[in-house]
Amino acid sequence: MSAGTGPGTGLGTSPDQNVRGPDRSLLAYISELVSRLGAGDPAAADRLREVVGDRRARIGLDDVTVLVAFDRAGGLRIVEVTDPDGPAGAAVDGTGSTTHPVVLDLLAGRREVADAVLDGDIEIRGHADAVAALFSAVDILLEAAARLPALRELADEYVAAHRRAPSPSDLPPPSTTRRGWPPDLHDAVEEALLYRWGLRHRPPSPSV
Amino acid sequence: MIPADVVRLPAPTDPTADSYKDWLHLNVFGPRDCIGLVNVSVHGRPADPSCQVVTTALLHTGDAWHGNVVTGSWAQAAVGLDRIGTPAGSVALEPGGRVIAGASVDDLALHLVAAPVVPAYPAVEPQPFGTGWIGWRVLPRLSAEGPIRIGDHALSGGTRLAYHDHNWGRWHWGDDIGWDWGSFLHGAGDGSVVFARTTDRAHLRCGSPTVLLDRAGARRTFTGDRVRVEWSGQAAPPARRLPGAMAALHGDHRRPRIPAVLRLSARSGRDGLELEFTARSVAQLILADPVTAGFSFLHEIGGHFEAAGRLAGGSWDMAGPAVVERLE
Repeated sequence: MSAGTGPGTGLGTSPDQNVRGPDRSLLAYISELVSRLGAGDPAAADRLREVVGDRRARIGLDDVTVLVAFDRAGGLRIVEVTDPDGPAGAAVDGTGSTTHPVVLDLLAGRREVADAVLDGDIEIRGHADAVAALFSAVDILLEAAARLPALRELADEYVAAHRRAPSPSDLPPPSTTRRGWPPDLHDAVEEALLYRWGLRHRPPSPSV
Repeated sequence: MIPADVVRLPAPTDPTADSYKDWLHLNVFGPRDCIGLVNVSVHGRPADPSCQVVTTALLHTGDAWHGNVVTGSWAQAAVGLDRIGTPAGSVALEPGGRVIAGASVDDLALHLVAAPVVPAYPAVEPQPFGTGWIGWRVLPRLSAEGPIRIGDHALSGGTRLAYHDHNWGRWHWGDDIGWDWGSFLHGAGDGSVVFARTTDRAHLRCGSPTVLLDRAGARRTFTGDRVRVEWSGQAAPPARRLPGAMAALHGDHRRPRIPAVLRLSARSGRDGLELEFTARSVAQLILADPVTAGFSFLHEIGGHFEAAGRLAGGSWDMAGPAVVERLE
């Protein structure tokens, strides 16, 4: 039977509203995420290491930035970067950044990842293979979270720690930075190639 | 006296328990065009670390879906013969047929006591469902009272209409399974219609449809060839997809082809009905199986219906808010 706080039969609050877990930093969250994945689904953890390979990523959440990589033994190496543009923040294969409100809206199902990217509220940069690896890594974590209570609990803890007061019409504010699709490309050769292969419907700019 | 329904927990030695599913569900309609649901469900072998107990509490107020889906483990839940409960919500069954549903999820908090207005239908014998089976028991119309709050805002009180059912069986989410289901309650008087049929995932092979009609103490069931089902149009993409993490994983299901209009026609002897439902807003629930790697997508479609027909020698018409589900 129940080992928790009992069934919610009235107007009590759910655990993610009144239980604030340890105040984790971004570094601590990512470390705990990978640790719990390894403990709960070693095969998924192996897939994560394989997908990431020897790449390094810079992950930013609000004003905190970390460098993340796996060492040759498969151990997670993560360090907080105080100057993302300095020497310690250089030499990465890809970068990703967003904010706490965006993450909360995604976890609450109030916003789509694609919309957040097009609005400029999630930024992913890097070579194509690095970006693909970053998204694959996120997919592995999300799929594991569907089945591992420990990962769900970590997400609940994050929501509880960063939740903002909801309102009756709690919709994301209209974006003023929505980019068009397809996005403008800066590489004229790439533009021409995609257009020639029928993968881009706008003809390349006249300078090509 | 309505016989008590019970949660159908599998025996400890049941070899099919890994695919066990069981839920207690309550829909509430009102005030005005609000449509809500509380559903607490068990997925997988009870007491196993992989077993999930999920609380879903949603309310559509005309402009947004409030609430969320909260997934927990068996250890966090309290499951008995007459209730399924989690820290986020619970649904309990009383011997006289009352259903007690409470939930506090995100910005939505409610506590409803729903009393049956008409008798329950006998439990449907387990029907084939994918590689498993599904059972079903329905209380088509209840009267519900209790507070509903969105954030700090309390919705106006009074008696609301409600629908309750209990589903149980053995299947895995992600199997080649689907269903169409709908609850239609006359808002200005007596009467209810319930529609259900199982399908394959693509909704190309459909099982025998069932339509349950209740009005003024009379009751009629229409099945098989006596029922015609027609979907048309296309609803707007889901306004919310839950849980958010699963929505992020399944961006390919961001814009499913969900029909906007459902037309039902049923005829048997002098009794019959014509019903049309029009979708207003869709919420997508992404169901992950705790044992296999499969996912199913359940669309809660809130909208409005109108119906007319004949029953027990009299003509009738109905209208009001309604909810339809489409699983794929």
